[in-house]
Amino acid sequence: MAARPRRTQALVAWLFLLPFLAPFVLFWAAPIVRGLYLSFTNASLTGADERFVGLANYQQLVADPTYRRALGNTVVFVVENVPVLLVAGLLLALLLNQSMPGLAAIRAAFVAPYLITASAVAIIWQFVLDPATGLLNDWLAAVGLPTQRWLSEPGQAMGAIVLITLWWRVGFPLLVLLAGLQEIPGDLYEAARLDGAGAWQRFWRITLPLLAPVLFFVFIIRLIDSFKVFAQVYLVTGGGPIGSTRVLIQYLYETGFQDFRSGYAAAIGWSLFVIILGVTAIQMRLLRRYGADE
Amino acid sequence: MTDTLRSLDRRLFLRAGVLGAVGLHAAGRGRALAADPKSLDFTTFYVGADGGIMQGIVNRYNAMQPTAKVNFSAPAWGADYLTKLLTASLAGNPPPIVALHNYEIPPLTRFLYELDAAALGIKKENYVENAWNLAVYEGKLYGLTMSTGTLALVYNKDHFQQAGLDPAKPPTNRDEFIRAAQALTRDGRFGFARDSAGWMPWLTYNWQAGGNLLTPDGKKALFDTPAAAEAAQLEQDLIHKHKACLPTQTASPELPKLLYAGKVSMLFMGPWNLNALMKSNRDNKTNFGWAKMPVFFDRKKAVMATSHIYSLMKRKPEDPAARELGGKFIAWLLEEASVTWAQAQAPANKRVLGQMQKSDDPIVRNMTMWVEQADHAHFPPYHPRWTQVYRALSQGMEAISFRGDDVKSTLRGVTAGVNDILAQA
Repeated sequence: MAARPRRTQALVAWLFLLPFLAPFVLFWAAPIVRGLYLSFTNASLTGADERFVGLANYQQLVADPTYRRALGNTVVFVVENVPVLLVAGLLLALLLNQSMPGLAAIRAAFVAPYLITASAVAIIWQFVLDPATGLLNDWLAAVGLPTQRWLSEPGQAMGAIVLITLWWRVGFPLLVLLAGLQEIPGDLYEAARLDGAGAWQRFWRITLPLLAPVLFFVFIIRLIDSFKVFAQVYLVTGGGPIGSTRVLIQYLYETGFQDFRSGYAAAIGWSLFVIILGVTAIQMRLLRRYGADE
Repeated sequence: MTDTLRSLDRRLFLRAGVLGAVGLHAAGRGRALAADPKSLDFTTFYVGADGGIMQGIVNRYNAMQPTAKVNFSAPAWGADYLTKLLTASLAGNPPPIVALHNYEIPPLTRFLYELDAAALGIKKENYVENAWNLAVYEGKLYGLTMSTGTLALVYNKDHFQQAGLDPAKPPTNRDEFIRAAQALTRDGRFGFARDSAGWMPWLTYNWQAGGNLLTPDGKKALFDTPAAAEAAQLEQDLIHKHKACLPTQTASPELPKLLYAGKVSMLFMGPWNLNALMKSNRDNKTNFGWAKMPVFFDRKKAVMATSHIYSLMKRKPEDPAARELGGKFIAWLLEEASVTWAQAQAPANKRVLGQMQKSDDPIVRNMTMWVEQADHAHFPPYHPRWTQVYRALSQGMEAISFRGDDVKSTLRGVTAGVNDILAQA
């Protein structure tokens, strides 16, 4: 007798889950599995005959100079962008955690660019950084400083992209870290002050340790996001000059949607997934060890 | 008793409703079959001023005949456009009539109908030969070429005057071009700016120097030939030796802005810019002029070009009416609307050249110069890996032009890399 209500309950549960499960399987899980399968084929968007090629796409990745360069550019972006965003976000959060006149407006001003679309960001910054017609070079020339090539110089272009990304994305670490700072009990600071701890000591002994989980969360999110960098690069430099800012997702896009090599593009995508998974696993292990030491 | 009556009323009401709906549907369908014209989607990449001109042409067609109603649209340009067509074709539901660039034909051939030009009343001899052949792939005609966009020299006449040059005599050869570009490079502006993306000047220089891009079998690149090196050397010299070309990479869509802003005095531009240039001369009192592409090397008459080809796409299930009416529409466009189309692009129909020269519309009259160049039009080759090849080539040319890398060794490196790509095809 008890079996029937349990079965009914399970059925009802599945029925409730169905509206979420069906789109999940259809639009998320199935494409992931299909993408993995594609990476072992020579599939083309033109619908030409699809053949299973085993690991050939992955072997080709290892020997592909454009892939290696795009991966290198992506790593450079991650290494430059993540620390800059974290440090800037933390400094701004510390600053905006103080009481000051017009605090809400100042906080909103820093967070606002985060809400702007990539295309608008690209237009704004091309207007500022264009070597021939940009505002920044006009200002530099006006005060007698040498103008720069910014987006047109291979040595400067990635730096310019990091700068653009900082302006655009700093709102996220700022918001999350600010919320983390406000969770730290005020009486800890008060007790430290009574014990004679200076601002620097309070930061190292109280703020940083208690903010560490939030910092780690922001770090992971920014890291994954940085590996997936595409829109601002594609729209501002198109991967140039001389391929110096072509990143992995752009190469994936070009391979899949301009060269129509869906199989190879899928292999690029899965290689990126494995890289992000590996880096995140290392971080998790380090954090656990760091947490245990603490 | 009351319940029975209520039940009967309800049944009667339901029956009457169903009968009424079926009757209305049948009447509507009958009227549709009898009178409504066949709806045909015509999808293009005309996202600029050319879209407005084509909409007007389509409206004229819809008003003059009762059998088809053409719905014009321009959803995207470039890779996104082709991707949309490919995915729609794979789903069996592409627009029946499409505009394509020549390089977009090969990936789509299995989704395109072969056309019989003679049956549509189109005579090959009336069309620019190079442009006609663009729609031929593996011996089959997959489209009819409406327009051929060659590059020409666009220059600022005021800048010419300020630099002591005669605005009525724009450069016609390499030496004149270099001298003009040097004289024009002054007061914080540059004589010339190169397009480092799809419209690299190197392509025209290389063809004029007698070079080509790939071997006829498509298995080897020809980027390290003496002609290719001479062409690349000119690109580099204009920046580093003659100091007459903007030394920074600028995205293609930004180049016309430099011309309009007075930061650059000469550019190579296609006919689709003529409308905006003439509007600027009229409304903003600018003084832009245009001339045929100078002869940088005299071994072969050549100029880089693109094209607009109109094709019919296969649908699932087959739609013979769309195919027939679509063919008629394309034939009408080419034969009857080419002069109007010259307000936006250079028609491939040579028969209309006389009408264009006598036109009241100054844009149409000026467009004749672009049409006259079309006999020497050169196009990138059909190759399944061409986009990948071109990316490597343009990156090498950026290194040569902007960074001043050694011409021969860079071209050798690019050629070796491209040959690896071609070997995988």
